[in-house]
Amino acid sequence: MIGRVLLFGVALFAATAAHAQPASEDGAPAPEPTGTAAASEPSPEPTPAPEATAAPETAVATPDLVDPTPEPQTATSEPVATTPAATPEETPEPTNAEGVATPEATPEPTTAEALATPRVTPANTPVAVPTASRRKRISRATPTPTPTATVVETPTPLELPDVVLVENTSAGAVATITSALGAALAQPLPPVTPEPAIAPIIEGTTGPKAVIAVGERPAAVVWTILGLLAIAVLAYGAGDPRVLRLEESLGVSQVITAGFPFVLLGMIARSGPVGILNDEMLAELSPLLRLALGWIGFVVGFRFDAQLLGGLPRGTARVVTFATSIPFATVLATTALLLLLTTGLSEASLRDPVFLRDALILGTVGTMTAVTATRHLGPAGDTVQRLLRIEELAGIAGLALVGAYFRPSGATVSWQLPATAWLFLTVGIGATVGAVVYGVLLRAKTDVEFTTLTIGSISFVAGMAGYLHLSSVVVAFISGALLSNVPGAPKQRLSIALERLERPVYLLSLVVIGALWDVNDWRGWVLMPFFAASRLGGKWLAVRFGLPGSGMLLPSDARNALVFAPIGPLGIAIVVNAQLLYPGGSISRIVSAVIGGAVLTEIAVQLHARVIRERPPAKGEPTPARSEIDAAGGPA
Amino acid sequence: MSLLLLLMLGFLMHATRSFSSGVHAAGTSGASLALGYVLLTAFFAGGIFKTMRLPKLTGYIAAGILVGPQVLGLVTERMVDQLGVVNGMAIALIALTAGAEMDLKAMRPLFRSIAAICLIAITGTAVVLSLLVFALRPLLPFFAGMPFMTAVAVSIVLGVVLTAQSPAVVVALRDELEADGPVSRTVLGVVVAGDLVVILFFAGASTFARSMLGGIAEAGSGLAWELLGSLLVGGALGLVLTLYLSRVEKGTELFLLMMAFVCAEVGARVHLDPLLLALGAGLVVRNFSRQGDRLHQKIEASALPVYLLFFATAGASIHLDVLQTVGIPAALIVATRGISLLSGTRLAARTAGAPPEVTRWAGYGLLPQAGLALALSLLFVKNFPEFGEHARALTLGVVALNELLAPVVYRWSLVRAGEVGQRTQPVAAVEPAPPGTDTPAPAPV
Repeated sequence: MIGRVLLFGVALFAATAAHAQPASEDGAPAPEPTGTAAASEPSPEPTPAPEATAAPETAVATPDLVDPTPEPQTATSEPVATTPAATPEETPEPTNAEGVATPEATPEPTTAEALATPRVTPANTPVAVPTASRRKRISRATPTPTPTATVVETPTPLELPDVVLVENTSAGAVATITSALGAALAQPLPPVTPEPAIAPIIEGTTGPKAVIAVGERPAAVVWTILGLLAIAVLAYGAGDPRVLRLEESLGVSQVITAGFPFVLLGMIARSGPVGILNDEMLAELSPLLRLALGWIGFVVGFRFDAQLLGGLPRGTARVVTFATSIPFATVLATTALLLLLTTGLSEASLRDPVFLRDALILGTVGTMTAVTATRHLGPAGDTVQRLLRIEELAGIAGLALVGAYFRPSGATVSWQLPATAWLFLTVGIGATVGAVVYGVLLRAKTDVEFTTLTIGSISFVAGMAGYLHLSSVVVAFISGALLSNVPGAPKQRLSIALERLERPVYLLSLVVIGALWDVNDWRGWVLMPFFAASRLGGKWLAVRFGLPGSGMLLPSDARNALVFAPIGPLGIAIVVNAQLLYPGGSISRIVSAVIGGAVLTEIAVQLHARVIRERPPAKGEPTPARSEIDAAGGPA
Repeated sequence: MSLLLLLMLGFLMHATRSFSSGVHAAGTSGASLALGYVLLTAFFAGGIFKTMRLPKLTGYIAAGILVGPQVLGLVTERMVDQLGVVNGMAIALIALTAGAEMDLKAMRPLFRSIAAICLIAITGTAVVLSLLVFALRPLLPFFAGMPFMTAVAVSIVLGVVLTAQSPAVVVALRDELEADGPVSRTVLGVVVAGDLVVILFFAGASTFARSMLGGIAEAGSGLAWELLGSLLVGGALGLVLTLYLSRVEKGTELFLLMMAFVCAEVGARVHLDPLLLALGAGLVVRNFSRQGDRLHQKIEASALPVYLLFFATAGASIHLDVLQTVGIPAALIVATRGISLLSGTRLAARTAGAPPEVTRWAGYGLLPQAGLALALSLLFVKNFPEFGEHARALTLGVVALNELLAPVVYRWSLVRAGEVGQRTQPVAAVEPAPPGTDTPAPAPV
């Protein structure tokens, strides 16, 4: 069973990585440049040569599987679901994920179609075909049209499912799934209009500010003053020892420390009766949210020092692989099961790129663990902390892949690039801006100047990523990691500046996140316990099966920390960033599941910690000192 | 090196902007991008200006003009609009600083000078500028065909608008140069009091002009609410702030940001002046509690990004194109305003028996213009939609010139007055001069 789950996860990652989808922005054509910005850019070519994009990328992703023999024409000419935009003559009304008609309809050919068309000609394109005898070539399942697509007899632009490895008799089921995933990746995301709740933070608002009616002004002023007074009183109360004791006894201190009351504050401020955080204010606060995402990514990157990888205990690779891949797979499998159950076990659901994207995001978040979980671990804390830092890489990688391979819809961009190019661009932008930030920070003389330049740099990085529809967390992570590992960088000052503002920025962003949280969608709440349970289950499995064979000796509290640790800020940042990248459709359910799941996990962690505290230590339970751990593990 | 970094940032900004094919395509991510870009660019521009012995804040403004929609267009008009909340919060924090620096007890010896300057220099300048605008009617197309009395009323309103000073520039330069002494303190008191006077005059003149055109101006009906209401509500906010500062150790910066946000956003929605709100709060904290120094210290840490954003955004908002159409009248008004304020201040200071340095240099501190004049000109457009937009071009032209030139002149005057670098501790710590004297105690060195 575990093997299948693992295989599923690995296959999915392989599919994602190998799949160089030459997608444009939603498959829409490059629009005619309009406006000053576009006028200054050379006219984009919407139809890059497919041989230069899809095929070489496939070859790179699976070099050992490449057969130099050109793939026969018929192998890729079965019907594939494409977007309506790909069939200009019979263009139906395009729909979004929910089947709602959207105004982005365009009769012009898509880049996907433009890429697909030349594949009909037998070009000398290397096509991935398994060469080993045990690798079975999986025939592509007959596609079922999704509600959002039109079936047309056009060749698929991609042939990823051909290279899926299947080694046993259960290959059929897995192959069907992976085939569906490949087909899903081949489809561009349907255009989605941002949901009303999140639209202000995506699109902003224009025009003059709404003014409160004259008769209502005194009341508004009084409520505002009372609100500020309440915050001051709460802040005072929060530091009171009696309140702290009460929090401790209720088991909610960690929930409060994690900042979830700020989420609640945002929800209340957004709610109808209060309504302080209206659309206009949310739009105005959007730079803060993006800054916070960039800040979290930058901090995580900055803490990813190369020295982290040095002197690791033996078995680290195994433990980290298990700790990331199993929760990823369990969350993914649970999500898939839920979806299949709710859609009548239809394979079509798996072909839906929106589903695949959401599942990948959930799976990625599921692998995340708060580093704060290691605070009270004593000597083993350092080892666990390093493990968790390496685990964070998985989250960053997952978000980077999603950001590059699932480009959001909208015909408002000039750059039409293949998906893998976006991945390279993500890394390139992060590195380039990181180098500029390095130069910028060296110019600061005082601490205030340094902090100011740090804020400016991270805002610039986050804004740049957001402008390009890339993940702010990922791009900022790369910049931060670069600064952390470049000799001569002002690391100590940067560390102080980052720590100083990390919590205020994060807490303020939680207010906005709370305001954006759509709690009315019951599906998010249904998903939440499944997500939390599958994540915990995955973590438990990872520790149960990953640790024993690794040779790494960890005390029980450290093992518990690996299982019961909360999701942490990076996990929340990932899902919120995803919401900014794909502002509509099902993503709000994912947000509900993750934020709710995070709170749920925090409470579960507290309860578990209390049980552990109250339980007398088992006889003979190993609580090795640091020296013992090192001796057992030794440097890798 | 600064130039090289500016070029690299500009290149990255240009490359990023080329991604979007539509003006509104980037949504609000453009605001985040602009926020970072403006912060960094203004910082380096300020450094370059400093090496040229010019005020840093002129560098911030110049950077804003250069990268803004009028010149390079790297920061679009929409981005500038989206930074409105940051701008509003910056104004509130600057006003909070101004309020926290105004220790009424310590400033008591300067009250006579401040009152005299407000009465003679500011009121006199409003009269002079009203006359000048009336005389310049042939050069100003929007006066064409306007009845005599209406033209008089409109001239008075414009004269008042053009008299407005800028507490923001005064506070920012004071901080930048770490200046302290009778000149800088008198100027701070005058620009704050002068703001109140100008708002009061504007409301009266606007009501008069509106009645000439038939109707009642909104500014007139909301005068009491806007002036007294702002100060009273600001005072209440000051009490809440005092409570926080005295009882809570952590999270002061967050609470200050929240307070600034409330002043800027809620204030704008209930027609309370954010500047007066924050000023009132700062005054209460400084004068009715012992938390003034703590407040000053907390705000000081965030002063640099606030100034960078506020002045760079102000620069990006400057409409240089209007100077083509109203350049000559604007230049005449700038010159006349300068002469009137300088001579009026000298006369007032002499009359009040102010120290010689105040008599000589304080007038230069009244020259800068920024937020208030722009806000009043917007209100002017609202009250007089018939010709408001055309008249606004004139005020924008005057503000643009004053915004660029006046900080340089005020910096020079502070240097000549010997007050630069004199601040070693918050103003409130300065012992007040004995009652009955007009000379403040020397600033501790």
